Amino acid sequence: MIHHPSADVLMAYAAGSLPEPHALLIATHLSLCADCRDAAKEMEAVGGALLDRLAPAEIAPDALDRLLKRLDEPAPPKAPLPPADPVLPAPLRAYVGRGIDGITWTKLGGGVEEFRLPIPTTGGYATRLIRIDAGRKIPSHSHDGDELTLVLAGGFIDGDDHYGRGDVAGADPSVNHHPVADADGECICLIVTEGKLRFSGPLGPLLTYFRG
Amino acid sequence: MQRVEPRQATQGARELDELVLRVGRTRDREAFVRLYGHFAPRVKAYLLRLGADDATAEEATQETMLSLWRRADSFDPSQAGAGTWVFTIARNRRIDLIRRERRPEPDDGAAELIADSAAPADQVIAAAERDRQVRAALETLPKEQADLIQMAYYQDLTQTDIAARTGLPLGTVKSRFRLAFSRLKRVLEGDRA
Repeated sequence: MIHHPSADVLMAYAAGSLPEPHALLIATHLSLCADCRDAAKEMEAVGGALLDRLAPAEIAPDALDRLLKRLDEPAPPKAPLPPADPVLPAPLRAYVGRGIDGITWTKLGGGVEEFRLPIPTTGGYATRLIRIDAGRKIPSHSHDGDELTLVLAGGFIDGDDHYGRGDVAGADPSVNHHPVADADGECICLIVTEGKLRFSGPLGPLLTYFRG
Repeated sequence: MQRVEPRQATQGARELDELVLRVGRTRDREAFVRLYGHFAPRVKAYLLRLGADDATAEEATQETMLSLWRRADSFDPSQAGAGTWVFTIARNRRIDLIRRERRPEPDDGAAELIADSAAPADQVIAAAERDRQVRAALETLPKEQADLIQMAYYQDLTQTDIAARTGLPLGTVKSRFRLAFSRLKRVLEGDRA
């Protein structure tokens, strides 16, 4: 792993201010990356230290008694997690609800398929898994907003950089990029996009129409 | 048998860890009441700072403390001190109850980690030590950097939002954040050596 999320994104995750799709992508990276997990813990410790320094607020006088009466209530059951999977780490499995082999992909053409994750699109974000055939190009595209990509299987080259499992790639709106999947196998990524994707290659307008 | 002290507003970090462990091991209600006395007013203050109204903050505080009670048996002081652990519970309850979103988290275990990503064992830092160092590092941050960190944790703002709110150019906000991070990091890593 070479490409990690930036410190400000990790801090926003630890602070709890990242939107859900980005938080899912970071949690998935943290499942794979011990270094970033450690950094996120440091940032949670910052949250703990700040909490400790806050001036205490006033609590309703009867609140503790009301709470003590609830301590014996049964806890709500935890949703079961699908079994371990070679491609999908735990946070992602909780959303997909099955392993990678159980996914029903939607063909986008050009050797590219997608699976949209069931996260409400408030904030205008799209969260999807993308599967690219070996050696295929993702059509040249730019975005209205930031895009965050996490590689789950295989890898791709974008410009001079190679990205493999666990690597995070960020692209801001000014970047018009065209990643190419490695030749030795399919590439599967989690991609969070803000705003509409705009494809600028020859098939661009058509793909934009289908995916908008 | 440990004598239960009267409830105090502030307690030492080690003592708080011990209280959570007692709740986890023996469902000790007196320990829980003391934890409540320490944490509930701070959790509520945190929720108010993030813009919740009083009734919502009060309810989410109760839910946070209930989660503390239910999850105390999974508390591991080698992973995080009690203050940090309670912060993560409050943060997650807020996302759940107030933002109405799910909070994705990695598994605690190492099963899914990519092998080459682990920090060398001599650099792994004990939670209590990390908490102490983070506190010390925060004290040494210049005010303009400390203010930005506060905004990141207490106002649910992105760097772009902070730039808009403060009227500072985005580049300035980013570079102050970078300074604050590298300072925190330097203090943390320096103490590790």
